[in-house]
Amino acid sequence: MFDLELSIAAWRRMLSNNPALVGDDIDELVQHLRDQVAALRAEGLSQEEAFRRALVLMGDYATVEREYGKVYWGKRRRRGELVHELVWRTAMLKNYLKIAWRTLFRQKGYAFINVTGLSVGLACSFFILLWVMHEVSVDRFHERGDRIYRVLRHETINGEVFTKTVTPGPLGAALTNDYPEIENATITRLDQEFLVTYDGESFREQGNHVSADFFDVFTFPLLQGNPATALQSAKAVVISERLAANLFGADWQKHGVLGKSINIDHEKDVTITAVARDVPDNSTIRFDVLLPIREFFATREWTQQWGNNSFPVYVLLKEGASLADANAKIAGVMQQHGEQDEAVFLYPFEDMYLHGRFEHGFNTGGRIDLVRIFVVVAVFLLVIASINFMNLATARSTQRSKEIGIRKAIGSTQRSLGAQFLTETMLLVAVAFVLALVFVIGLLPAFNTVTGTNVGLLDLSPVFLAAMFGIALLTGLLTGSYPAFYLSSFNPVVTLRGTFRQKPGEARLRKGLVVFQFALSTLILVSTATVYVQIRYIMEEDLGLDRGHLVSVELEGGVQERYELFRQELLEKPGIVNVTTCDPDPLSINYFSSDPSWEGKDSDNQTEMAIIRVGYDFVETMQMELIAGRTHSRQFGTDAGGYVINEQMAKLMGKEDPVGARLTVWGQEGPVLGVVKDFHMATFDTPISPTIIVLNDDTERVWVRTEAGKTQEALASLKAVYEEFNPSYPFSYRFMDQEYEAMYRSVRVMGRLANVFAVIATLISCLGLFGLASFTAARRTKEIGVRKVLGASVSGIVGLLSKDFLQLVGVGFLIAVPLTYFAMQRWLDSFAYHIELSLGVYLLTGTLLLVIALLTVSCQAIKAALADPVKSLRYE
Amino acid sequence: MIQKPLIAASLRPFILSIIAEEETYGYEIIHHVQELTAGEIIYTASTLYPVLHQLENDGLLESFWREVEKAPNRKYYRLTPIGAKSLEAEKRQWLHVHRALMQLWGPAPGLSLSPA
Repeated sequence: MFDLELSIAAWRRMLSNNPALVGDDIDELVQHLRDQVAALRAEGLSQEEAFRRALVLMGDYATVEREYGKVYWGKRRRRGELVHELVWRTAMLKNYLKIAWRTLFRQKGYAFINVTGLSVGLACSFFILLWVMHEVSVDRFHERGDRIYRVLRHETINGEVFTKTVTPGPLGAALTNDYPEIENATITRLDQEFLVTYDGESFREQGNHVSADFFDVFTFPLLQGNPATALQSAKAVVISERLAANLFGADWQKHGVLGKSINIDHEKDVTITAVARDVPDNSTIRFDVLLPIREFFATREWTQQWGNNSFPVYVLLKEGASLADANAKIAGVMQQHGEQDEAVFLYPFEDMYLHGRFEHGFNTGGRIDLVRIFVVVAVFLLVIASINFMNLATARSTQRSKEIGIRKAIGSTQRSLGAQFLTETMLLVAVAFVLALVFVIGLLPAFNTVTGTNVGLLDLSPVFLAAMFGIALLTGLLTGSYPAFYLSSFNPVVTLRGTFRQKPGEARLRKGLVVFQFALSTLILVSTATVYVQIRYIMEEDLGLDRGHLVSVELEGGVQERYELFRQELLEKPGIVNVTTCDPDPLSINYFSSDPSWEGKDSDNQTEMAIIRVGYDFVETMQMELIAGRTHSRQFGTDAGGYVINEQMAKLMGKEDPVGARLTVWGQEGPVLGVVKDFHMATFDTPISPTIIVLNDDTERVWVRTEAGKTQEALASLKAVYEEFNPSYPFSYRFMDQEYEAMYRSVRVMGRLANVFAVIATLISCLGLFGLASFTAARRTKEIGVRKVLGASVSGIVGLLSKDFLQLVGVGFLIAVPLTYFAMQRWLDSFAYHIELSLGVYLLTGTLLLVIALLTVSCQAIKAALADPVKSLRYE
Repeated sequence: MIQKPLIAASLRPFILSIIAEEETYGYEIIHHVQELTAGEIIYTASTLYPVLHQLENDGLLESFWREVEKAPNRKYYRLTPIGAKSLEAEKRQWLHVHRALMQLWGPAPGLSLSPA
């Protein structure tokens, strides 16, 4: 029996499910329906007929939802019901969350894979972000930073332009006096080490000689003392708070330390005029001691010569002055003082750290390249993790198709289903985010060790946290929206009927994503391998001198005054093979000059030659290879004026047999005594310069070759003899191979990081592969069951299931190969000496990748293949 | 058969004009238009009410519930001053177009030029 009121009530209930209809909208529509029914009955229809016809005349449901939805927010706003609205939506959200939680809990395996992959990807990007933020902040804390420039020098030699960072001593004063655009210029030296003694205790401290206006240019706050006058007097010294604490105790601030006298290098007594706050981590200019450079200049005439370039100079430009104008004016200043082929220009100090590389006179980037690479890596990792996410989510769609069909049949709208799935995704993302945060906090110390930075938990600024959160949110929304949209669009009729099949387009998309993932993984893996091999090459390649078993101490005090005696005593001790002196370190020669000349030298030839000052026995102690003539010998007094040169120098002189040829260095003419084989004097990206070895007293370090296997004994001997000659100096030494490795620290850091990222990228990709493989296997249980019944072997089935995936991995690999080749070749070219890219690396990586993928996939494949066909074929 | 665009375009002027004459409710508006156009234009509820609500959101209409005998409360709409102004603007536009077209077409027998 048709009951109008019941039918209307049922219809009203259905309407009330529609989120777009607000309270009295439903009343309005119901009333409309009644009017319509009444009118139809008046035309003669029965109640039931009238009702059905009236429903048709109302319009279709989809239109209702759509059109009402358009005016929805306007209505809410007008009625001031926004709060009400938010409350309702929050309640819905709570509901979604509850269901999302339950759903994920039921699928623990899938959730675990997804969360792990995503949290690892997120953690890596967070670390990279942290590092990038640190790098970008270097040297950018000075108040007048935007007006500070470093003076750089373009030097043209034989048509090639080299850009140098050191300039002549008098340049600073010339710039300030002669050019009104320049407000101030401060001169420094390259980083020095000083021996600071107070009250019988000595410390070796990092420091520098700087000009008096240092604090006018740079912002290094003084805890005590006046920056304007701190470096005025000849006997002034500025120390850091750390050094103050070392010298005077932790409560140094209570005692007045200003005016106290300390001793430098056992030579000079100076008075403390100021105590500076410790230099922050992100400053390339570092010091614990500052002395006035005027004192350094005072006793050294060579510092005032325009041909001697040893000093970094920093300039403060006047406010409002134009950089272009200033550069145009100062370009010729060196030429005015007799140095042709030298052009000087100003480069923003804040940019030196990241953008400080010059090639052929043009700025070509610098460390910023590394920063950019790592940002790219971070994005790659996130992309790989997100692809996993999407793949797994859509792959599971067959499992959930029935669920979706039922939900839709009982009235869920596509929108609310989409919201449900998106909530599930965001829940996973939230868990992954929390996990990633835990990783970051827990691994922060390791991060600091690997990258050599010092980021503390407190440094995780709100900006950083907000950025991390934003990244997680964005990732979640982007990766979640596709699966949510895809899943919620299923047609319930099709899914419930059981004829649901995934569209071929989906499978192709998923395959494409897997290929992309593995291409990225290949890229990272091959790059890692190449970096590793190059670093090993650098570390182990023949440098031309044997750097193992070489130890050095400072040439000072009694050791310096009575050097020959010191040497004799040392040689008698166990473990010591040979002793020499050098200024300062054959592996980091920084003295270059184009002055040395010889008969037949082309006067236009401005090639820079390296000059090392050494004591006797240098070549022997260093175990360099002598290929002609001999080295400085005590037996021949005239040897003191002779020179030993390297192969490059012989080539430069244009002489096949240069022994005996006359060479003039620093105004002294002398014979070439011998020729040594070329040796590396700096990092591997610098080509070997022509080198002249000069016998000279003005050396800084004693180098001792120790016997292999007797290092400890040798060290003990060295300490004993050293302390005998220098009782008031703390004994400190350096090993050459350690210093060499330190030079490459940043490259090695990069290598280590590349390793880590390679492993992570592969891990995430494999997680994704694992998930996909398990779902494919699950989907094909019936098929596998049938095959087994028909006689297929386990290995045959495993092969069948694995083949598809391995093909994808292979394609990904092949795509990545040319890209990696190109990228790695570019990186290797930045080293003057490097390995050649070999096929071996690619073969090795490819095989490794294939094996890992095979293992991952076969776990699932084997499980599926071993399943009991009776169970899989049973009608479910 | 009147084309859809024309039906859609005339929706607003019809609503505003009918409500301008007398405050009324949704079903009545549909009925009225059906009569005026001799059955050519029959709006459905799903088309009409959202437009009514939008006009209300925009401030052209005001709604209120009126108690009606033999029926539960019914939602009525009336024109606001803004709505009246808007109606004038609509009228001007339509008549302008109408006059232009009439110059081309000329008066034809059987075609009523005055409003019903």
